[in-house]
Amino acid sequence: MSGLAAASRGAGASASSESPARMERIAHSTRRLLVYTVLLAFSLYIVGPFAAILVNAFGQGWFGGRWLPETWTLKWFRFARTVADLPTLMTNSLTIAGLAIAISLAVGIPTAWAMAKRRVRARALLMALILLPRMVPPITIALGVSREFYGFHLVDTHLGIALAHSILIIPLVVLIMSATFEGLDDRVLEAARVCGARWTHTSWYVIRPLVMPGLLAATLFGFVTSLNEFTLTLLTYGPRTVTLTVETYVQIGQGFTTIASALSAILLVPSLILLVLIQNHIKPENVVGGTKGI
Amino acid sequence: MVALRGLTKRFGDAVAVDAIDLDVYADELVTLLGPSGCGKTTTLRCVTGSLEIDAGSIRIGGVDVTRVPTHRRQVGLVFQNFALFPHMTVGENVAFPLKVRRVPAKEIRDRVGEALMLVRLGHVADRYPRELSGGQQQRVGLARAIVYRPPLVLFDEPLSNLDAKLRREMRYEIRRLRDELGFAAIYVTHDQEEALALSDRIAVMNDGVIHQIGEPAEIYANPRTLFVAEFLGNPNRIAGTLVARRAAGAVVQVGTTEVETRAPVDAIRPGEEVVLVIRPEAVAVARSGGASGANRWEARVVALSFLGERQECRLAVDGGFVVHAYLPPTRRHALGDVVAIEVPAGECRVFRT
Repeated sequence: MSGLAAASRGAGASASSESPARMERIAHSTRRLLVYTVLLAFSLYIVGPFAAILVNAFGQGWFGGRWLPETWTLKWFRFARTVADLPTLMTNSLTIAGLAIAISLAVGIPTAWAMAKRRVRARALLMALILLPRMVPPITIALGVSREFYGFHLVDTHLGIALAHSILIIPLVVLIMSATFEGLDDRVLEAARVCGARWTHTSWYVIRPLVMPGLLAATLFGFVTSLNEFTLTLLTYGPRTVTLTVETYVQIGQGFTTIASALSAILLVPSLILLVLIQNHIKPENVVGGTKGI
Repeated sequence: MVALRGLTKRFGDAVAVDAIDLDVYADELVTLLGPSGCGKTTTLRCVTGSLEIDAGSIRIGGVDVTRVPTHRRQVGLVFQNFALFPHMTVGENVAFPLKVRRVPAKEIRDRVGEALMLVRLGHVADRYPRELSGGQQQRVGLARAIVYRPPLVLFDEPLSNLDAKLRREMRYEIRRLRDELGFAAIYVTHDQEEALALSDRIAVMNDGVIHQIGEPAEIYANPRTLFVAEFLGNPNRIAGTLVARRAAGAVVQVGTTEVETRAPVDAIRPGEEVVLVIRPEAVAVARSGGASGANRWEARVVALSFLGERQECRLAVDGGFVVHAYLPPTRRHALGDVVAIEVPAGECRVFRT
């Protein structure tokens, strides 16, 4: 009798203690499901346009109402190479980007150093001025730049377009590098001097390694910005300086969206490579010169 | 070893260092001791060459280095925040001064090993500064400062970023290093205990001027200015009036009480306002009341604090003043107790207000 009572009491106890735990498991799983659904939706939202470009670039006969194209083909890329003259486009885009980043670093780095290390009066105002080009609509700048460039015979030159791009890239360089330089502890530099290092020595062995992450980030971002720049290029280019971005636009205008997609797909490649490089080699905290003496 | 003559440094209109003269001999550690803003760190930075001086001269090892840039002055510097190179390993940090001087690689390895052994960090050569504790980082800083055997090593409040126990330990480390390597040193701190424990001589500074230089025991016992008397120890500061001067002392009136004191350093005349400085450890507190005699008064206990190794109490002398004094940790007293206190005349120091 007492044993039966005890058994039933035991069974009742375990039944009532099980359901709260079980309910929590259900709630946990539901939460997980919800999170994954949202993540998936968001990923599709981001990846969607790229996927569309890639499918368009590799597909033939992809019209409205179909999920996938009729056939797959590489002919748009062939056309890009021959009709659109891909090698020249590539050369132009890369050359201009190279010039633009060189100019921007040459101007931006000393400016950033001055802002970070010297007591500049009205520093906030100066920084706002430097950042101004990025706050204004690109088309507005482009119009003004284009007008001036005609006067200086800079239109349709690699240098001219690079200069125009620099207007947008210099603020980027100054922003990143001034933060990097600010993170450079003055006392570490002083320590190097007291240890007997001349300025050249200090620069190479102490400053360079510490600012490298920021420098790399600024260079990569700047390069990619120039590569992808459209509006400014559109108003300063000419027959000798057609870039990938401009040609994409031209092809769309002529109705060849497939060739345009092919060009866009090609344009994606440098950016993706650089993105991977940035992810692997640059830790965000290092960009702001996060390591100090302590 | 080091001779500063008329060293002056101005920042705009403010004079941070005002025509300082200081000698540091080859084997001694001289501390610049003073509160924040007294000019001690500025003086140090003039010696390292980080600051250009406005007047005066600096000689190190007999050579006038006033116009010599920092990297050629051949001094070592230990920083408050360690200032290690974060992107280099411990070994590379310590090797840096040697590498800059183009010492051959093998010799660098040997000397770095030796320096790390000296600071007892031989096993961390391949680690990065961020992986070490504060105390270890500071020892790396020490190793880096002495690895090229400079004749002069400068210390800029090196222990301020360490906790109290670590500070004590590091004091012995620095002492030990000096004994082994025998360099001259200028040490900057605001911590008087550190200064008293470490120094061969102390220069007490305030407002850009050196008030007094001397051996720790000497300046503690015989402060020459009110600032020095107040800065060292934790003394009582009592306002009063000079009543009389005698051959070997003086008498100061505080309220209705007369206090016998030692002879004042300054030429003070009777009737002038003075400050009486009495160190708490000089106040003898006896149990019962009923006191009489020179510098022996009845006092009432008005506050008590237990501090572990001792007790601190505040005692009010009727019609006179309040002093704080020390008691052994086991003495039992209650608030309101009447006790007899006695202060030897020699421990009562008088200064002009």
